[in-house]
Amino acid sequence: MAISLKPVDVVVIGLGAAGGVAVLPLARAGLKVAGIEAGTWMDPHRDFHADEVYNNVRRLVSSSPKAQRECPTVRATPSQQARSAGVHPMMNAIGGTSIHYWAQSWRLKPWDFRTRSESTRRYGVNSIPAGSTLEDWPVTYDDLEPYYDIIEQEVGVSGKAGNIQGRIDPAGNVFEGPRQREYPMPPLRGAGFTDHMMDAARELGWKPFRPPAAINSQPYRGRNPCVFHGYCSAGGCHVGAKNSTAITTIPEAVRTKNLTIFDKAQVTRIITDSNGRVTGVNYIRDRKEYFQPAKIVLLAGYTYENSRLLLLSKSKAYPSGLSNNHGQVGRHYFGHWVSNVSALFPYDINVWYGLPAQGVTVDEWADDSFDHAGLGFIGGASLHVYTERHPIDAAAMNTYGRAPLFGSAWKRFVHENAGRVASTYLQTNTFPYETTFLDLDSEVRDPLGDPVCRITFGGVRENEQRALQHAQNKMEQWFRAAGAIEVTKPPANGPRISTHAYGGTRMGDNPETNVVDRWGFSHEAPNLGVLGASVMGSSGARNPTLTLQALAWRTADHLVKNWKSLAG
Amino acid sequence: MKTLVAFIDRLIPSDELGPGAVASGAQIYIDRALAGPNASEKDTFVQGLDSVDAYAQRVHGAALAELSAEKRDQVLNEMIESPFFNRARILTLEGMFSDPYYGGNKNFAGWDLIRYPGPRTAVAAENQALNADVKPYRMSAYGIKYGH
Repeated sequence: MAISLKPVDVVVIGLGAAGGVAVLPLARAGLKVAGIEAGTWMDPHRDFHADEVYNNVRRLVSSSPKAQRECPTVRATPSQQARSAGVHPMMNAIGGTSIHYWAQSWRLKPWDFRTRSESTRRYGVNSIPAGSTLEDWPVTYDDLEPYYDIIEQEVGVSGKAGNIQGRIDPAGNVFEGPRQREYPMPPLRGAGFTDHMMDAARELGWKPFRPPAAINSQPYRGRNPCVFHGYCSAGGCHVGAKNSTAITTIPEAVRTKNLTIFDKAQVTRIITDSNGRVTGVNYIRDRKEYFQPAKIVLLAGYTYENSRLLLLSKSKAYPSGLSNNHGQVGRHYFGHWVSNVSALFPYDINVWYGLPAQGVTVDEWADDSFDHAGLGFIGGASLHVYTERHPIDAAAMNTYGRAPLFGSAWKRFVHENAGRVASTYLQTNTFPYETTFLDLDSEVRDPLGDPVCRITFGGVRENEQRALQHAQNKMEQWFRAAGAIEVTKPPANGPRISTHAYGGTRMGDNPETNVVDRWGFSHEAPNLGVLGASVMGSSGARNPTLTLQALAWRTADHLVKNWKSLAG
Repeated sequence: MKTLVAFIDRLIPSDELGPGAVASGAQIYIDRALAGPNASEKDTFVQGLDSVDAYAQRVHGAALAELSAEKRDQVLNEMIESPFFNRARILTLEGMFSDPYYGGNKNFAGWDLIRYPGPRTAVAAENQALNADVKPYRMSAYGIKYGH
């Protein structure tokens, strides 16, 4: 029998990128908040190292043993047996994935929120990918803009505005939606190579810019600026320049004395009463089970865990899982299509140091920045060239048929060329489909005996394939213009699993096709909210974190403003 | 261990460009990895080494460690498409090019080979210039105890 604890106003399940920001407006408003987190504080001195084996080979920051035992399985179609999907960078810690992420902090485009109606208007209804369940978001860019602004200030984002209230500045991203003001910090400095790539893009007539990052380009609110030491990817920041929620919004919320953190505590079920209202959560800490009663529960796990916990939380009111009486939990899930086009240059490009967020981005071939008439797809991909290269990865380089894979000839080849390879990050506009979804695995269970999440891919996606191939060709054109002598494009196939996982608890006005409403609250259980990329119905061509944080703050803000009606 | 050493010695041989995998201690890295964090693949890896020896014996008449450098190169080439070759190569690269804290990359020979200038606590803009001649900083992220 679970030990019953003193009731609180709000339980937040998971103190990662999403839950970690939502606690701040709640705590500031005087609500008593319990943050229940399966991980604990990470210690920069003990846990963060300039070490490729530690960060990238063994993934000791980006994966944690508990989370790895809950990784989803995957199958191509429902008739197949699912297999392990391998290590996935979902983890348990205060700060969650914002500890080790690349911290690229993008706003989505106005088009991303209205892709279905805008594509239909411009290219006709047949432009919507066949089998896609894409809907316009229930919020617009303008609805979210004030919250993007709050996160950029509270978390701390470096960047250069391209559109302030309609005034276009080509030093920033001219394709972005209008912003109310400049970023709180200037963009991270460029490196010699990214500056060279910027020049090459301009010669092609494109409009390159330095992208936004939640990394301090200068001292910010008492925290250090970035030191560019080259071990940012998959690692934590030892000087505190990467603005995870563990060093920004969570400590700020703790200072109000209204947030109590329960660490190393794993939520096993969300509990409901016979009226279908949520009454609190059960969690396990030190092998004891507790019941934490709350007026409101905000579910803020990783995308897979959000769907899984709802599906596991069955009750009389919700026989097939909490908030799943319309069968929408797990639906509209998709992984972001990302791609690395790499290139070899005939001279040293010196990208050893730096960080993935130090780079140059081109947005000409993403979203609806270009005319798609006759191309056979909507969307595209952003092209991002960046720094930070580690020695093992560099030595494992493609030899492009110019050298054998071992021996003295190989040594001569890597001696000359290991420092001459550039990597890129292409992020494709990705959409949800009827046959791609999450449910509970029928075989694989976690150590508590609960089934893990299962991904079903469901078939090829020609729209994303064409969009990515188109962008890969543009990336090759850009590299060639900059002087590359070899360019490698990986296959553009999918669906795929990505560090960017979306959907499963999609946000929308229609309860028949969405789990949460435009404010992030369940259509079925009125005092349950969901935070994270699991509410997003399309990806945009850029990293999700800033958007899911803006949405999380907005949900918390809505709760504060409507406390009486929501808390009942 | 004898077969492993004979194998990785040909993957990255010592030559005029500097020490190879064995002189750099990559086998120490691999041994420690298989005893600890990579324990789950140890059996498969050891079976792979055994099958290399069995193959060498059958086709070339002696265990790998007993063959000349040329014969060993021939064996490596003959198995270059195999999963074992790929896995052994990756582990050797990890050993040779990782922080010397893990037992390989002795005297920073791996980093010198690919001209990686080493982790620095802070990196100035001039150290990120195109074609910059960045002075190698031969230091483990875990202090001066490691690497020599």
